[in-house]
Amino acid sequence: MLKKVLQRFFSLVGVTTVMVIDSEGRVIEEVGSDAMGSGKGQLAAVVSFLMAESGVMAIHLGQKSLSMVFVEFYDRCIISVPLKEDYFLVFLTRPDANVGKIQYELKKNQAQLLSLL
Amino acid sequence: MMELLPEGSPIGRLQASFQWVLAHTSRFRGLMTVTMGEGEGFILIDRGKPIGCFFQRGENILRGKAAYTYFMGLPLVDLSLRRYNAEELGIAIRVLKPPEGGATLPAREVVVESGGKEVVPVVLPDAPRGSVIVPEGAEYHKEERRETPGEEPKGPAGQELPVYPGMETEKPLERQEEGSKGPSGIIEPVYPEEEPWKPPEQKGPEYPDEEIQRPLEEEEPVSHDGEKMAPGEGEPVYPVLDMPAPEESAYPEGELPGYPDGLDNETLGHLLMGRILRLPGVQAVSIFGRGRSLLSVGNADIGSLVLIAEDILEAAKGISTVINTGPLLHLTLQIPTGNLIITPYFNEYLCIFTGPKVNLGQVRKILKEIPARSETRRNGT
Repeated sequence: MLKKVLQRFFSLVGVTTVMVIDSEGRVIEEVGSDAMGSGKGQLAAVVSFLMAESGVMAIHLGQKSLSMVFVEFYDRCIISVPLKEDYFLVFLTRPDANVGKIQYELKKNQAQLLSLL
Repeated sequence: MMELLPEGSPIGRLQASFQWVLAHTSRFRGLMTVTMGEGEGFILIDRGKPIGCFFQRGENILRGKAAYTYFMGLPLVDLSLRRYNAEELGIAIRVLKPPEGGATLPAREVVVESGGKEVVPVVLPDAPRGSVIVPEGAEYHKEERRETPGEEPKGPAGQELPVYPGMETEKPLERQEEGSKGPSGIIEPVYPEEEPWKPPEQKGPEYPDEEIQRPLEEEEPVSHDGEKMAPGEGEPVYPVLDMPAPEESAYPEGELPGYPDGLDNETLGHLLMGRILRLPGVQAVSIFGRGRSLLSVGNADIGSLVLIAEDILEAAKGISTVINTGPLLHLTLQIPTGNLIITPYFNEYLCIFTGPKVNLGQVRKILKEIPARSETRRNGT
């Protein structure tokens, strides 16, 4: 069922991989066309670390939580969104992906996504 | 106190400030101990959140918020970390916890130099994280703590203990209200209030009043030889150049002009920061690198976030080692009250703190004009 929701995100233009990871860097579920092999786990570990550090920054800025972390590289973008405690939804996209559209779909599907975790 | 706590699994020793360690141990559960001369103390941490603090030097004891504030004021100390599992953490909490009823404390009463008594503070396992709770009667003992009101605690040799801003040894510890806690329950350290930054007054060159008030007189044009010329005579004639229309860029696509002579990086930084700061919703802009803030303007002090920002950047760069991403262009942290944007700026980084209603497109448009970023885009380095 979780995979079905991720498929919806994956169908958006520019999205190459969508995955749900936990704070320990484990991949819970993923849908994607990126051939990463073992790199998937490494990516999850790095992103979970990034989210932990970003959480510390949010606390220093007087906030309990993060809304989103968006990292734009020259060839790719990574969007990571905290779902509930210890779970993150991670998008790998091409630079031309419509971030606004992703955020809109996320808002639409967030309740269902949370109910599946 | 410390000998009663579980041994745990020693992780190692390091020299750092408590602030730095707490900022980097978001998943740590255990004990952080410190030894300074004759003094020793600890912070009990549950998943990065301090839940109990203690420091003792001779017969002087700081606990709870006072100890926490004291620790946070220390610049660099030798720390050792011991990891606790859930069971060991439970034991540690029980050591600090009073028996049922709380009023009949078997915990030792510490006689301080002034002859007063002080009760060991406790941390309840079901209390909100970060809450330091004093058992019933603590206030009563606290009142007896000093013979002379206002007397500062002394060290064993009679020397005065350092006093840091916010250190409250004379006040009884109180249950922390929700409002006084940090967002995640951390006891908020108290910093001295700083005056808001004001730009220095800039004065232009001074002229004698007569020079300014004297109206400019129209002078008749004269030639090099001193002879009078007719109006328009002798003016240079410029050839008409075939210039592109103003709305078209004078530079090929993807290329930007070089700097005018005399414009260095710092001046450029000030200009850029000023331009960004004028955008609606932008609250502060800073340029940082190598662990320190280099330039900073705006209403918020984001210079203190440099170390964490660099850690975030390191984590972001770690993504490049796993998948082929190309160079980092920018990183945006969205929080409910705004955004924090970090982007490479020559050999440093530019950090922009905005409110929630900022137009990110406008910010990104300016960022794309930074020459260093354009070079990066072109070279893919």
